[in-house]
Amino acid sequence: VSPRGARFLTRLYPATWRARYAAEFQTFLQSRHISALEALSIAGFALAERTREKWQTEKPVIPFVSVVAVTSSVSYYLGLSQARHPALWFCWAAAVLTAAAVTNPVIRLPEQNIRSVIRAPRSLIAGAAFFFSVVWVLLFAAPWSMPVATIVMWCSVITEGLACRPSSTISPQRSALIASAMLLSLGWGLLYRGSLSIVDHPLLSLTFPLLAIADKISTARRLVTRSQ
Amino acid sequence: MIDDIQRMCGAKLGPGTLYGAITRLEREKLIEPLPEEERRHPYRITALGLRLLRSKLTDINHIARIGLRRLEAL
Repeated sequence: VSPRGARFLTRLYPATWRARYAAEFQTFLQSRHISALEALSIAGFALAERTREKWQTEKPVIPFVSVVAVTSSVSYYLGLSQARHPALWFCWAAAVLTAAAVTNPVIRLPEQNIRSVIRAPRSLIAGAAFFFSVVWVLLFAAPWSMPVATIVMWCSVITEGLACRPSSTISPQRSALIASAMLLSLGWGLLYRGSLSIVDHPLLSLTFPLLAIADKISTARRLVTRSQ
Repeated sequence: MIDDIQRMCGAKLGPGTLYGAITRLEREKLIEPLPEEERRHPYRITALGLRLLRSKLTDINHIARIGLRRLEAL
């Protein structure tokens, strides 16, 4: 591997890993030929290392992703006829509030800093009212609001992720995690708004991996019940 | 190390796999680095690593002996 290639592959790993292993890993890579499959494997291990580190240091992301994933699953399970169920409404409100709390360091709002909002009760009420209003608009107002809002949120998170540098406080991995959660909500938004032809698209179906698995299990169960 | 593993098990270890294992083993204090020798970066198994390795090999040996005995009985 050329020194440039070795440097590139090493940079895929997180900064803390590089601080310890970069020199010897680069020397090692430069001393041998690396196939495309091996390079892919290195990228996979680097991603695993980054994920391990992130999940240890940035725990707030976990409940956020979980809330969005669970809410998407519940939405899908309830189906379109039950899409306006009150329980679902609260689930999405929780998802949006958690999203605001988590993305606050990523997408810096000019005046609304979630930490200062939490410290001041008046601002907390105002902030909660603001977010619940947003949720209400998204769920019950214009039919295009949910898909547009999710697309805008998603794009802003990706833009932020691309703009981040490894040395900055907000890492691209964190943004990537948030982006994946946003992707889930995008899929849900389209499903909710009845754009079924788009929901059937294979790329969008990737946003529902858990749901796809659950669907397969329930189909298998039905088949077993029928055969009995 | 990669060549040694390939000779012993017949499986070729990629650089990602190797450094993934080194990272984990060092994190768990099962190996420790030694001073660099002419662009080589040797590692040494620790006392904790030795104990764990001995225990694992004993387990594997035990399972292999039972398995072979049952195979012979077939």
